[in-house]
Amino acid sequence: MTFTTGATLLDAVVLAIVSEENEGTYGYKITQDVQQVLEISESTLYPVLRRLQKNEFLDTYDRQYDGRNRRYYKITKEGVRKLEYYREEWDNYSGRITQCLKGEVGV
Amino acid sequence: MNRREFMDALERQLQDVPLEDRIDALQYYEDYFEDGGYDKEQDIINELKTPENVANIIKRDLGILKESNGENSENNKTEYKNYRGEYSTNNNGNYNWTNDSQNMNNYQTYNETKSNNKFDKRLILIIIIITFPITIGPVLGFFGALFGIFVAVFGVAFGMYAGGIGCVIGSIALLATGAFADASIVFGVGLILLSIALFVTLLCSFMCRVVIPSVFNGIRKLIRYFRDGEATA
Repeated sequence: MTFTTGATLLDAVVLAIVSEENEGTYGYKITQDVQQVLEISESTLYPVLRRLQKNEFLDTYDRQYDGRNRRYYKITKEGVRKLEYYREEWDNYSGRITQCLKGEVGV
Repeated sequence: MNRREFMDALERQLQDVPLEDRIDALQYYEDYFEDGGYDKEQDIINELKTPENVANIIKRDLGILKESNGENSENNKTEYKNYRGEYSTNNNGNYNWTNDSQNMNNYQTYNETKSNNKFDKRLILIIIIITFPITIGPVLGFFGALFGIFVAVFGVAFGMYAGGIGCVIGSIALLATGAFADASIVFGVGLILLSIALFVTLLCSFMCRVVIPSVFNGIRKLIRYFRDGEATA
């Protein structure tokens, strides 16, 4: 990928992906889903999830699966609000970049 | 390196991470391997590179590790290659994932200090248990003495207050009988007793605020020290 993905954009993508699952989702699946969108290493996501959890944008709970505890991540109300904010910011930002790159500035 | 070896190495690499964060990270990667399934095990390990790489990412995020540069990931790549070569020739379970002798030495010293530490903790615990019948006397004696001093100081304070107030009241009674000289002496003694009582009161509050909390703090730290050691053993 030519363009690099900053920490904030990664936060936004993870929040968007987790928010898709009403019941919450788990680390492995989140990584797979993010990898559909961005080129990230499997070791990248743990600190991101941990940070989002610390900031109370994500909540975790353990649920039995296949005779073991699996950790699930769920978006919080605070997280939904943050995601809304990111969406607006992204529209703004990407809109301006698109305009610029396509030579539509001032049109 | 298989999953078990990877996780064991990761746990060793995370020794200097606080227990709660360590458990959280290990749980995450256990989950990750479990959800990836056996088929994906080698793929995941290949992508995670080395336990050291994963540990460094976690530590950097926690602010335990400061250095962060592009060079680092280059190093990790070569380390991984070396490890592959090394492991196939050296199948005794000592997975040295690097040929770089300096790094290997670091790893070994790290391992030694860690096992020494664990050994020390266990040794101390065993010594405490074995010498328990002998040490229990002095230990209980120490706490008994501490308790005794407490009661004594409170007792002295109480006595001084009672004496001081008694003298002051007495001097007023003497005043009523007309013995002015006697009354003033007794009044003065009463004031001296009260002032000593105030001083001892300060001592009491110092003991309550400083001595008792620090004794309990010490006990709590001691317990945590051993419990932490057991949890990671």
